[in-house]
Amino acid sequence: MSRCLPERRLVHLQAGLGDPRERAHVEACPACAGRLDALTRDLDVLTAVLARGPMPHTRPVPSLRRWRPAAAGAGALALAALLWVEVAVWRAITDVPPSMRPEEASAMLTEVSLALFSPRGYAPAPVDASEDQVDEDTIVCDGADWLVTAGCTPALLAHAEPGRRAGEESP
Amino acid sequence: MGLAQGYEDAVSCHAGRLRRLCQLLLGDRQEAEEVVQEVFVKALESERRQGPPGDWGAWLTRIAVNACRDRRRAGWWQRFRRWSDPIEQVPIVDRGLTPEDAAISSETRRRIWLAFRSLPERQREVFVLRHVEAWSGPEIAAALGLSPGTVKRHLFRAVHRLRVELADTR
Repeated sequence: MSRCLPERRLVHLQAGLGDPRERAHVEACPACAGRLDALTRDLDVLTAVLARGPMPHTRPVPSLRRWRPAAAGAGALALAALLWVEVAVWRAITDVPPSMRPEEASAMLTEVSLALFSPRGYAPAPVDASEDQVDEDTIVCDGADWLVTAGCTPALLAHAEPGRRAGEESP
Repeated sequence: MGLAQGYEDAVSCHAGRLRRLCQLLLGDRQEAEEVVQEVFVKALESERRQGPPGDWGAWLTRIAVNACRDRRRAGWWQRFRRWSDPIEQVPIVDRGLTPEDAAISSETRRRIWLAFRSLPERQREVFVLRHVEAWSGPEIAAALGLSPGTVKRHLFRAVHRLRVELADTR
């Protein structure tokens, strides 16, 4: 072995874990012998400090310094969670109609203002009964939307069925 | 009677050494004291069950190293609190040192301790067992359940890191 040993090999050799050929090289090589002596001296110092020297006493770090980042993070998380809960609750309890036509809104507001500001009290406008009367002759209980058509009684439906079937059968 | 005598001898002979070893591995005097007590309780129970071991020193050391590892894993929170305590704030008092040891400056000691504490667990164990307890490579490998190659690798890394720190103080 002619090349000088790397530090790794010297550490192993010093610890008694080396190869006999490496030891022979160190005995023959002044450079490696010097490096091994330096390593041994360093290890003596390290061992003296760690094995025989006084051990350091530790004392707690002031708690504020250690807890400040953790407290800040926890606070931010708590704030975010609180906001999330607030938004979720607000959405749950607020009933916003999905869509309202302008005339419906106007009618509702008119009723509200009448109820609030009328000196004689609120009296709903009389409903014209004739408007609500349904002329059975005009009701068409046939077609796609017969289910939602007001006044489609079973009799009318039964009346509509044969024609519908006939219409379906004719091409 | 003979068993008890052997146990008492082992306690008086190895207590100081084990205390130092556990303190090196745990970095805390109080925890080290507790682990040493645990080790001797285990030793007493084992002696009653199976008789005294062939080599008290090696056997106790092996139990102590394993107990320290268990303690580190179990008490991570306590260890975090204590291990994070800065050494640099604490003076290392020199008392009863040999002239050679006294020649090492406080700054050098402080930096060596800091570097030693920053070593990974395995590197610390291997270094302590080799250079403080003077165990051989195969003994270390057997005690820690490592291959000889792994022991060499940990040893080199620990020595290299400590030497770098030592060189910076010169």
